[in-house]
Amino acid sequence: MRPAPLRILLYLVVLLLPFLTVATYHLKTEDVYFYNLGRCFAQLAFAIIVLQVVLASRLRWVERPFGLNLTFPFHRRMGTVAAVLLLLHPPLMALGGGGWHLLYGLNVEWYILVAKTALALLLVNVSLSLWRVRLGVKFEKWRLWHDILGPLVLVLAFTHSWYASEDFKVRPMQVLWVTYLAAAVWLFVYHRLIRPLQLRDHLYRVLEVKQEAPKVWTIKFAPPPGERRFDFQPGQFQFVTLFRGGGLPVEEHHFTIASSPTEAGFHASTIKESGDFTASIGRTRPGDTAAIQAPFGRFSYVFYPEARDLVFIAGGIGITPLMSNLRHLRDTKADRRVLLLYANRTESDIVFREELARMEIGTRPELRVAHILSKPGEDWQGETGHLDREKLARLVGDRLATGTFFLCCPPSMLQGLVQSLRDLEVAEARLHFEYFSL
Amino acid sequence: MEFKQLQLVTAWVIGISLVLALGLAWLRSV
Repeated sequence: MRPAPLRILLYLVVLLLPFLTVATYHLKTEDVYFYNLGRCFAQLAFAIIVLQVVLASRLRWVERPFGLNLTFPFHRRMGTVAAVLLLLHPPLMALGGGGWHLLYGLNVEWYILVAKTALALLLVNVSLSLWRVRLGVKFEKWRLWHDILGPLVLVLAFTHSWYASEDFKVRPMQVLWVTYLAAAVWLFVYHRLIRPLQLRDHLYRVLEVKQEAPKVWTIKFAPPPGERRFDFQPGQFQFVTLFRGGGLPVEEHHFTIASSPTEAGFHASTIKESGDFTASIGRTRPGDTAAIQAPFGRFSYVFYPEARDLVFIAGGIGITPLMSNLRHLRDTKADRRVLLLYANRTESDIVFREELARMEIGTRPELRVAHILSKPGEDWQGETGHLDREKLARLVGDRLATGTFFLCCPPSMLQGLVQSLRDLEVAEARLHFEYFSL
Repeated sequence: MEFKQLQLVTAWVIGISLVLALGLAWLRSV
């Protein structure tokens, strides 16, 4: 079986194994339909929460066929599904004979109070995740709370189901539930504690810090002494924790790798100062160390060997994964036709301008670059304004019918461009895009 | 796998799970 369907099938098996176990060992109950439906929803939600840990743990075997920028949105959606199922659980139990005091009463069994607490915490957790930016919660703070609330909800939900449900008087269900909980707890501990410590035993070193444009820095990393740099494909990304001293923040962030795997002995990320953490990126110094977990992602032309005609579209610092792809195309003298549409505000915001101009002179790949500026200076001769549908159609031309598109831009720009390309009848299979953030 | 396919997979996973939940609840009640 192909990798992606196999993993989806396994996901479904873990999700539905509680149903199969109940159906095999404890099918008949004295309870009415809605009561049983409430139970089914809760068991389904518990399995989803267990699988949330698997999806979030960056396990290479799980991530590889999809890329984290698909597994993370799936994690987000399934979290919402679990919350909806658990919200429906109490009213269904009440409707099925449990009594409406289950919903509002505090004079209930202790394990019902545990369930109410779990549900409240889950709703807080999901709300924070869905509306973090709107609620003004910083990424690091959200992540800390997500790491506390997620496992807490899991343990509380386990405790509630163990004591509240008749189904857990049956040994196979007990075994299944304990296995699920143990697997999730182990995976969480591995992901958040053990692996970070392992990575600290193999620290990369900052080789060079170079300013590319105002507020844009390239940081080159060298592998630990005596070790080889990890292998990666162009366009992939890494999780980096920088250790810089001087009171600078020690936080894990993901950055695209802007260099090409063909460049031996180092790899580099080009980072723009924006959030709290990246504001200090220019204060990184050669000799600083970094714990690195990589590579991740599938935003790479190499995964589509049949694509001979490539159209790259970058907005601002979204150029970095595309630059990695372009450098790889250049170094391997790839026989491809590439059109790069590169949108920026001003001329000084254009990163890698000279290197791109040098690449344009070569024939492998056959590269053409079109710069588009939304706030051009008076002497700017190139394209101006925003990259809208009309401009897209004109600049891409007949490649709309043949090109394979790779887009990396800020979310609002990306949404508009993807919609425009769909309107211009670019087939879904030829559309690949990456958000700035996960 | 692409974004559109992910949406489809999510819909299928939710759909299959819900149908089985509804069916199992019925089986347990009759």
